[in-house]
Formats: sequence, C-alpha cells, structure tokens
Amino acid sequence: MSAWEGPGHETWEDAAGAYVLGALPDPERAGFEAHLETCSSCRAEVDELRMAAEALPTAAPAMRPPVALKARIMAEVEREAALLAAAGPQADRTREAPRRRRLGWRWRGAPLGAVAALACVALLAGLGIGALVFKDGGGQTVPFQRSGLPGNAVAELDVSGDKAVLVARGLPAPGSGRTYQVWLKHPGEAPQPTAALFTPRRDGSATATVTGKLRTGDQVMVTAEPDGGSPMPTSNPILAAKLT
Amino acid sequence: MELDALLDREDIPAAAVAVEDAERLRALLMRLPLAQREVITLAFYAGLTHSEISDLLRLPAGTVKGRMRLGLKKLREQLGQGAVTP
Repeated sequence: MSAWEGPGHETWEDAAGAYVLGALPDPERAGFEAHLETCSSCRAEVDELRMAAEALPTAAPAMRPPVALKARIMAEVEREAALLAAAGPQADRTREAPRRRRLGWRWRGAPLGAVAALACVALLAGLGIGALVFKDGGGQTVPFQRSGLPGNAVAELDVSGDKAVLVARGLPAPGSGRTYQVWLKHPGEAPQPTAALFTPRRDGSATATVTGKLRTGDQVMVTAEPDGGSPMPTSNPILAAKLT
Repeated sequence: MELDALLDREDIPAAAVAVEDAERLRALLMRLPLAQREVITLAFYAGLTHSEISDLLRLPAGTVKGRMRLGLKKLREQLGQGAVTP
C-alpha cells in the first residue's frame, strides 16, 4: 500500500486496536496520537479498525455506563473465583467449609489469573458479555451513607434475591495489614460478620458480594478490620446502607 | 494520498453498519475467536484499558493489544463492506 510508516512505528504497531476501543491508558493514548501525526500507515489502520469499533454499540445498544459495567465484571470475576475455589478437591464439602478460608484464598490466591480467564469465558460466552452485565434489574439499589470518607467516595448496594453486590468508588486503602469487612445487621441484633472481605483496587474502586437473606430494615455496613476479618466490628462503620 | 482520500469516504459502510441489526452483529462477534472477543468486549463494553485487561487475564500487554487489533480487523472484514483492504 502507498502508506508510509512514521518514526518509532514498531513501538506502536499493535496500538491501533486498543486506541479505537478507547483502551489505551491516557499517557499512551497521547503518545499514539502524536505518532499518528507522522504515520500514515497507522492512520489508515485506525480508520479501518474504527469502522469495526463503531459497529459494536449496535450489537449491544443497552450498554450500561462503563463504570458500573466494569465494577460488575470485577464482581463477577471475584464471584467466579469463589465458586471455583469451592469446586476444588473438597467440592462436596463446600457448604460446611469455613467461608473465611475460601475467602482468604480468593483474595490472595495465585490461581486468580486462570480463574479470571475462566470467569471471562463464562461471562462473555453469551454475546461476549453476558446476562449479568445486561441483567434487567428486578432488584433494588441502595446508596450507602458515608462516614469519615473523602468526598469523592461513593458506594451502593445492588440487591437481588439473596445476593447483594457492593460497588464502590473512591475508597481509600484500609491501611497496611487491614482489610474492609462487610457486616449484616438485622434490626435489634448485633452485627453479623459476612465472608465479604475486600480491599479497593488501585483506582479506589471495589466490589464485594454479600450472600445471605436480606430483608427490609436490615443494614449492611463496612468497617476496616485486621487482615482476615474479625468476629465483631473493631472500628466504626465507614459505610452503612439500610434496606427499605 | 489516494488511499487516504478513499478512506475519508468510508462513511458509506459506516452508515450501512448503523442499520445492521444487533442480531447479525452479535453473530459476527460470536464468530471471532474467544481470545479476541473477550479482550474487545472487556475494553469496549466494560471500559477496561489494555493494561487492566492484561492484569485480569494475566497476559502480556502486547498480546492483549495484538488480539484487539486482529479481532477488530477480522470483524471489519466480516462486516462485508470491504472497500478497503490494507
């Protein structure tokens, strides 16, 4: 073809696909855009691939906002990790197995990469995305009240059936040797520990899946606890949501 | 330059794509190898960057980017409006 390659082309050879998908992190995107100025070969490729990328919304017009989607995918990956952990050698004893143990595996586990890949396979099997991502509601979303958190911290609880997913953004790290733990409080009772322990990702986002019967009036709370979690809260809740 | 001019007029296939029904596009997507489909969907529908995807799938960043590029290329070919072949 008549296109010519700009300087440093080898560095950018694979970038066009990620670029049209909006998947280049900021500094890299700027670098690639600068390269595009000088490289007609990459420009031609971007134009071509963009046509494919532009077709993608047609395949799934009911797209949710990326942040929520991202959180859901991470939540699903984590849920799958827990399920697969449970389906290990002791699969038939899963129900009796201490949940804390499984959870420890899930958050520290080396095999998470393989598990995540499997989860994605499952997740993407339907369309490439999956029912979870486009689930048609039916549940309830409850915002969390914050306490002592930075102003940009937000969290909500997606409740559906006997499962709830906590989705948060802008959470600070819980501190070294500490983790966040989710508690379930029925009216007039002491908070019960749940198996949901989590630490935010580098960007402050976090997801945690809470299983158990949730009823009107119940509260879901989050506290910072020593690694491994606590049987009783040892600090004040940073997040609390009441089901209505 | 000629090619560039040609590419600029590529809004014709884009318009055709816009009226494609979702079913057909889904079918096309499903025809992509899973390895390519998953990185494309994670990037486009979930808003993950290539480095987040490479963390998630434990793949080198170059592999993720390469799969995105190949997958989109294939998808573009399958859209069947192939006025442009590089």
